[in-house]
Amino acid sequence: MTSYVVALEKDVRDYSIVRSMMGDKPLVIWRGASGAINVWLDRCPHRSVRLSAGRNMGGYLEGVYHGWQFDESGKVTLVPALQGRPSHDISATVYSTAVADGFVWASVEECLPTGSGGEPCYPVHIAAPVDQVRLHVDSSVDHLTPWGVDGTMVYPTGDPAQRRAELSAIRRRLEES
Amino acid sequence: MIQFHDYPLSGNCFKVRFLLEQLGLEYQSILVDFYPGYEHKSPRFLNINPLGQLPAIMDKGQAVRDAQAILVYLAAAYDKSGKWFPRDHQGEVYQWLAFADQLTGSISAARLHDAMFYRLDVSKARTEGIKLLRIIDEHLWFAEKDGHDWLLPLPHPTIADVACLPYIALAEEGGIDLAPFFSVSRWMERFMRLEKFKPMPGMMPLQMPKETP
Repeated sequence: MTSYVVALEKDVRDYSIVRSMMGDKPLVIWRGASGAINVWLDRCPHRSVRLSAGRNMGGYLEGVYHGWQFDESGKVTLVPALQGRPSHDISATVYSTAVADGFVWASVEECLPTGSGGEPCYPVHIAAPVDQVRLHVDSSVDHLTPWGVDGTMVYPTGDPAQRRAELSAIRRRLEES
Repeated sequence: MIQFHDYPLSGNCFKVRFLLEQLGLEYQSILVDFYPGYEHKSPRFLNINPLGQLPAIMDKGQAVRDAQAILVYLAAAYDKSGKWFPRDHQGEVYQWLAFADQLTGSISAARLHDAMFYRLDVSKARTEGIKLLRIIDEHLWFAEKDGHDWLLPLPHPTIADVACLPYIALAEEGGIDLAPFFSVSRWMERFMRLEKFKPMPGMMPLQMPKETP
């Protein structure tokens, strides 16, 4: 099964939350107190509110709506409405994750990153499906992640200023065609 | 005392309220029922601002209207530190103030359509808003790369950030997804962690742990 880049490692900061997409799956990405990066479906198992609207307290992620707490394994460790008891049978949807060459990778199955061409640079969103974008970029230099049904996030490597100009031109061509 | 004609759901009013509080100025808030009362088009308010737009302030007998103009006015008149309106970066400040005005014309328009039932071309407003978000997101990515957290290459926010923040933070109320704009998201988070920041309705930052870098 395919693995995808979902964020730049340096952008996933302590006590903060990153939103991303992997195909049709919205993602919440957070770095816990252990230093490990967690990539989950951005949906609370309770009422489906985005987990990314909550807060990263280090040891746990807290949902914004009813204050459920999720530990780094995704388990629900505290439910305020149950007088603070855990609910161990409920869990966030957790994806297999790996960090390689400055990128955060994820997969719905086992995450197996592929090599990168160099330093990560400015990610570029293109409003065109990944199959079309692939025809215009060099896949050994740029990682492509489907973003929703008809969008693509390009995670390029190389010199940022130069790559930005190149990818902006590709984006214009694809979006205006 | 400064009289501030204010509406709690207005991003443009947020800018003025934020700076008044950052500068520690005393002010009297006069609420204007923008929606559904359309009080900003009433004879009483048109007397203060013939454009019928919020916000407006009265200070020392003088009316100042337009959010960006009020930011410049307040910072120039009352900020002794010169931080909020740095005089040696005026070109950049004015550029971002004009950019903020374009955000009002696009993202804010989309929000007025979705939330307050204004009749306008919402897909055009969203397309224009996304174009602007891409520009500011790229700017912030390269700023961060050079070690800067704010729109200007300074170690603190300025009225440029204040002017651009609210309609970006409210974009999802206009049907514009902020998820693809990673650098903008980090910048918003930094802004919302500033001392004395108070969210307006539609922004929902929770109190974050203070240890954050």
